[in-house]
Amino acid sequence: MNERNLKRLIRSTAHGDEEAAGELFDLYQPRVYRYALSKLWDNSAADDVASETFARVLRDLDRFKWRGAGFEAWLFRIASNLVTDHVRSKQREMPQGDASEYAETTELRTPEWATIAGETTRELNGLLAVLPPDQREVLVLRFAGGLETDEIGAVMGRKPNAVRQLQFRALEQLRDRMRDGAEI
Amino acid sequence: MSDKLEKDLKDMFDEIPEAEGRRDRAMFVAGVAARRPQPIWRRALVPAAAMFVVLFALSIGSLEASPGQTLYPLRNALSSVGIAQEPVEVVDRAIRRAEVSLERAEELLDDNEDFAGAEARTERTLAQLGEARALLRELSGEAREERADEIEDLNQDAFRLLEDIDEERAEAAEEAREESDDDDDDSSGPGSGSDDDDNSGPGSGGSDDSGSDDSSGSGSGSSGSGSDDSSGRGSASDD
Repeated sequence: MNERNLKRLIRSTAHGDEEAAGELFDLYQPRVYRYALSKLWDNSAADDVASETFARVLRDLDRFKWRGAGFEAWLFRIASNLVTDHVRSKQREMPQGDASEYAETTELRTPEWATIAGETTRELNGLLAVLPPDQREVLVLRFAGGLETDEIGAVMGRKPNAVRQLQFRALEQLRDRMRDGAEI
Repeated sequence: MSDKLEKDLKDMFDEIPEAEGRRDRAMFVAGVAARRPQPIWRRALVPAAAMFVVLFALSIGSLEASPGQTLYPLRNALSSVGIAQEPVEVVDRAIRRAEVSLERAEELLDDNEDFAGAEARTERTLAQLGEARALLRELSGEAREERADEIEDLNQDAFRLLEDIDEERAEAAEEAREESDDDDDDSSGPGSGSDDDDNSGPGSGGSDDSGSDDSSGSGSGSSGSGSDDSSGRGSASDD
């Protein structure tokens, strides 16, 4: 959807157009859910994050101003903050050793879809888990959230060039590890 | 290689099954519908009604505001557009109120002998007269003089009534004291009279009226004659 149509959709939603609201939800909810699941590896938690993200969109849509990276950056910043909140609350609930594991490791909580997926997916899933958090965030926002570089920069509070570098390094690492047959 | 890796990554995330999300969608859509702006007239209705209620309350409250009170400027404004009462009416109303209050105070004193109630009512009258006097500033000429005289008369009446209340209260207290004294006499006479009359009454009564004279007279007489007799008898025996 081009920017002009997206702006119209958002304006209509803000004015109470139910059809536009449904369209906006259908357009972004799957991406937000995928992003949350890729970060949390927990269907239920991802569901909660997606749900709360749209509740906040509903609450704050009046205040949203289309600046810089636009709606998608705003939406995923909300989702990203909610993911961070969720991880923190989980860490508080867990014993100290497990808490750091929760934030850094994904292999232990590989979701069902990944275990029944193809070999490449399983391999990538394992490799992603060992990437540094900011590199992983860039890839998740890029490929699960479908954001562009400037939007990722707006979500992460980084300049587009920095995002490009992070993405480049992340892909390089993945490529090297796959080439070397790194441990998964 | 890079293109293939990116495609593989995209495919990996695309393999993630979509969440159910139907309930969330319904909630989101319903939430958006609830935010639909109301027609302008409906949006204006509630604030307009609220404004009307506030203005109405303020107008009523300001109708008799005195100079210096918060609502006085509002009363002036309302007066200028012919909504508020004329100053003469306001002063007259204040004077009538004080008059009624004073009459009630007089009734309380005359009919009920309720000194405290009458006093309180009179003090209230004086306060009302003070308010009426403050309102006089809005009048001028003959109208002002007439009302000032009326207020002054009522003021004097009120002070006179306060004096009357004091006097009648004092009289009532005196009467009550006398009645209680009478009651005391009546109650002590019959109760101890038989004993006192028999034993000490006459004795003490004699000492008050003639007893002292009698006793001192007989006493000195007997002692005088006694001494004369004894001395006479003594001297006679000597002779």
